[in-house]
Amino acid sequence: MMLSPGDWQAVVLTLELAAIVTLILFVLGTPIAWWLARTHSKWKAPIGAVVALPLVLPPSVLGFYLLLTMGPNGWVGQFTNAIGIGLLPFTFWGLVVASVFYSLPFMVQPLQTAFESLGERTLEAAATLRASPLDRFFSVAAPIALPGFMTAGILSFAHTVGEFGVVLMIGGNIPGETRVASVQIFDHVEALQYGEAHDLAAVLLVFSFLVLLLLYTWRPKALRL
Amino acid sequence: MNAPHPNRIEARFRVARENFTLDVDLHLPDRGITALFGPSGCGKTTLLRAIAGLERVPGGRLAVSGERWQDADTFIPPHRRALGYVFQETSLFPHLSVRRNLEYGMKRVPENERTLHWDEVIDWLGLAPLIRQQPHQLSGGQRQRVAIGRALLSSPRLLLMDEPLAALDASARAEILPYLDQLHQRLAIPVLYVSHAVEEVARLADHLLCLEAGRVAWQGEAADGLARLGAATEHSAHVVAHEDGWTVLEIEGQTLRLPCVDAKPGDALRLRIERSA
Repeated sequence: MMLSPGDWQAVVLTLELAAIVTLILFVLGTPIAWWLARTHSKWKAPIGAVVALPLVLPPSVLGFYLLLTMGPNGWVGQFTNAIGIGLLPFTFWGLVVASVFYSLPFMVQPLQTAFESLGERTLEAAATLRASPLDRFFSVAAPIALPGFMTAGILSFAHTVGEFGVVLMIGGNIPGETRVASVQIFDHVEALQYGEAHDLAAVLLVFSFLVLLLLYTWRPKALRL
Repeated sequence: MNAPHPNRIEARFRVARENFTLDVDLHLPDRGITALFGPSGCGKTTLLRAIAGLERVPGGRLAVSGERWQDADTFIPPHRRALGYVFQETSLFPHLSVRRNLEYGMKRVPENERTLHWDEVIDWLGLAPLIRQQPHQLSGGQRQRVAIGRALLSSPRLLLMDEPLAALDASARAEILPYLDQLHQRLAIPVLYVSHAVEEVARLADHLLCLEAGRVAWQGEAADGLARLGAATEHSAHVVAHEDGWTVLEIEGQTLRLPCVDAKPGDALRLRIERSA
């Protein structure tokens, strides 16, 4: 099986996108998940629902709103124009922003579950042992929640690789910039290049299977007490 | 406002809860073991958590050995209070070995502020054989010993113990009590020990504070208080009169009415009061 240079470019771009999005999501999703897991605020339910929206919303709906917001008349678009980085739609960084929204629940939900199962007692014990809140997070909460971090990272990465609708809405189809693997396959099919479509589709199929196999077989040993 | 007493634990808390209101104003000695005794749900644990700062009680006041931990404009968070806390259930960190658990609090106290040293704590609590294990390999009693050691190694100026034996079975309790005796003899810091078990109080406490429905019902020397709690007490009384089927007794300067007792006015009686199980 041979992938064309264009196909390789699409695969590499996809992996780059997924890696950057996953890193951003770790930074962004961890505090959100922590807050959702521990708060008694009345805002918990609405915020939780907003985070979960991409699970049920058609990607085109999300992409449409993002396109408007980041476009020349949207407030994000006006802001990015004003600070001199231009408009985000149809750029790689536009895709990054869109993917962060789209994959947010896949980061937040496993982390939230992991944080919720931590138990107040363990953190209180750390507090009485002179650990500040931040110290408690890094020395107790994060290591105990490590399996949750693994699951969240793998799911976010895989979900970003599998994105199609949002990319099409917000990124279009620019080689080396926004043409990711899923879009490349779509192009091949549109152009009736079934052989090429087969090859790339097989690569994604095998990749997705391996990722999930990793997730289901190799799990960090759950901590027990 | 008066300066806090240098050798006392002064605590004033008022917390309204669904089933009780904790309302206490305490002046406790800052040495020896003070048992906070009372039935479940009387506010013992709430009081201990308020003292630790784990429960934030608006309007509360707390000073320990002259150091203000909470008043109208101060609230020192738990991690800045030099206290040790032993929880009822296991609270060991599951991801750390016994050694790392023991070191957790110790490492967070500057070396020149450490008052209890590794070797003595390990020795008092017999922890040497456990150090290389993981928490899940320990029995319940062993875990509690490690938890006590971990608290002590953070060099607390006040040790709070919330029914540390309540979750253990009888044999584990029997195993751990001699170690607590040891601590009692060697430890210079005050200990507040929450319990509803008379035997533990009888064995360990110097000072006793009985809580009932969120209020202090009695406090004083444990030896005096124990008579109230456990063993039967006897009082001499004499019959004053019979009135409408009641016998009026005079007992240590007080009057007591009982349903008709077969005795003549002026007869001496002995009254035995026993705590029902």
